[in-house]
This record gives sequence, C-alpha cells and structure tokens, in this order.
Amino acid sequence: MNTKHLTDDELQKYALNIADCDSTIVEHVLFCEDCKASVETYRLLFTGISEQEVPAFDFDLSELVVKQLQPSPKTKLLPEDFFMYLFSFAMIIITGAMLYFFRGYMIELFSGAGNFAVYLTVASVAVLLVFLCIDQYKTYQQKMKALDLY
Amino acid sequence: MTNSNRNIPADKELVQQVLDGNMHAYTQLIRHTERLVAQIVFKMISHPEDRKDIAQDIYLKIHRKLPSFSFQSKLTTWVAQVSYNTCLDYLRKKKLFLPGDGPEGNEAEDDGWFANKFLSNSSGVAVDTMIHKKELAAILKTAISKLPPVYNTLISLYHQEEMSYEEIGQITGLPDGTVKNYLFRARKMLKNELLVTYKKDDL
Repeated sequence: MNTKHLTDDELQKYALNIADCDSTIVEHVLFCEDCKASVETYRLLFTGISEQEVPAFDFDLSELVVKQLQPSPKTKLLPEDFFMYLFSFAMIIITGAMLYFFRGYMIELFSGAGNFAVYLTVASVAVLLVFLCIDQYKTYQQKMKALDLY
Repeated sequence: MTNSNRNIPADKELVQQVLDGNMHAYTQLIRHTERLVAQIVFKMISHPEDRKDIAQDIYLKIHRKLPSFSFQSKLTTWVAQVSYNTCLDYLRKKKLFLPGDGPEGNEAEDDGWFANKFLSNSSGVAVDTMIHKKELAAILKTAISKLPPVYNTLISLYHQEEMSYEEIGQITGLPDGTVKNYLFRARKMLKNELLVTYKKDDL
C-alpha cells in the first residue's frame, strides 16, 4: 500500500470522482483515516457550495432593460415649446420682411464696400464655421463614447 | 446528442424573433438567462447599486451585439461570456483584485500535506460530524465571499451551475488548465477557511 499521504489535488479528484483516480490512491484512502477525513471534508464542502442560495436580482431586470430599448414616445408639445416655436417663426418673418423692404439699402451697402472688405468677411465667417464644425464633431464623439457600453 | 445542441434550434428561433424587433422575445431571453447572469454579477461585483447598473448594461450590450452572434456556442454561454467580460472590465476600471494580480498562496504548499496536517483534526474525524448544516452554510457563505471575484465565479459556475471546465473556459476565455488550477486553489482556500473556522469555534 502507498504510505504517502494524498496531495490536495489528489484529495479533490478523489472527492469529485473516484473513477478518475489510480487504484493506489483509492487503496490509500481506504486505509488512511486522515486522508479519508480530508476527502469527507472536501465532499462536505462541495455539497455545501452546491446547496448555497442562488443569487437573484431584487428588481425586474427585463422591464428595466426593455424600457431602455423602446423608442422614446413622441412627447406632447409643451406650452413653453409652443411659444418658442412661435417666437422663432415671428423672428424669421420679421427678418425676411426687413430684408425684403430694405433690399435697396442692402444692395447699396454691399456695392459700396470694397472687394477686400467682402473677402475679409467671407474668410472670417468660413474660419468661424470650421471651428464650430470641429467643436460639434468633438461633442458628438464624446456623446457616442458615453453611449458606447463596452 | 448534447444538451447544448438540443437548445440551439429554440435559441435560434428566440434570437430571430428578437432581431425582428419582438420585445416580448427579448423579455423571454432575459428571463431565460437571468439566473446565470445573476450568478456572475453577484460573485464578481460586491456593490448592490453597481450590480443593478451592470446587469442592465449587460443586456443592452447583448441586444446590440445579438446580430453578430453566430451560434458557435450555446446562447446562455455567450450571454455568460458577455456578462463575465463586462464585470471584468468593471473590476479592471476599479483596479480591484484579480487572480494573477497579487499573492495567491505558496505553490510549494500545494502538495497539501503540510496544510492538511496543520489544519485537520488529529483524530481523523471529518468536519461534518462537528458542525451543523446551517452553521456550515453560514461559514461557507462567508468563506466564499472572501474569495477573489474570479475564483468565486468559477466555484459557482462549476459547483452550482454544474458547468464543465470547457464551458467555463468558453465563458471566461481561460484555458482549461487555468480553470482547473483556479478551481483547485479556490477549493483549497475554502477548505482551509472551513477548518480554521472550525478550529476557532472549537477553542
């Protein structure tokens, strides 16, 4: 008979499935009280683990998830939104009317200005637009990064 | 035929329904896999509020990635894989302890006899004769909670969910040998904790 006590690995294997063990190991456990006790402790441990309470979420996970996946319903137009739209519309109408009624003055104003002044204005607006676009793109990327769940 | 193969037609049908925009099917999918996800999330994440957020993140991610799921594995295994990786990312971000990051015990002692001799009772009587079932459950619960998150998860997947080493390997992305090694260490830690607690109570 093998007189060397079993290693933890062998003890675990024996406790999990005797069929996986060599006959020398099986024989040793039969005659060694210490190893037999260790095997029993492992078996007790395995039973104890399998009988542990299975954890469960204390909230309705499917409801929470599905709610987030549903397309958001069209929101009702609030009174403050209505006034905002009305104000914007009025501003567009007024600006359009002014441009229409004072078009003669406007043409005079621009025709009076030199070519250099027009180029300068156009260049300034173009540079500002480029900066605005870059800023918008950065904000968009940040928002997408925040949405990316992985 | 394996159980995993038997599940695939039903899984395919369910996935197709979800891809067609059927939210009821997705609710079914969540309910079908929730237990396994809870096992992983509870074992890896200790903070209850974070668990809630992570569980939702997992299923939102699964919904987003579902079109790329190619049935190379069981649906539950894939869901568990996404859950495990999401939890792992969280732990990495929080810089929490993972196996391989810190001390894991002296491998020289893994021949077991030193620890066994030191801890086991000299009369050769197994611990079960000394402690009641309820006490054992409580001691084990504490001992399991002290394990590193990955060990804790592996123990639950193997002993509670009765998954094979191969399935656990698929979920965690660890080689079979590493899964076996981590499980061995985790069990040994639990056994030692059990014996130490028993000895402490005995004094």
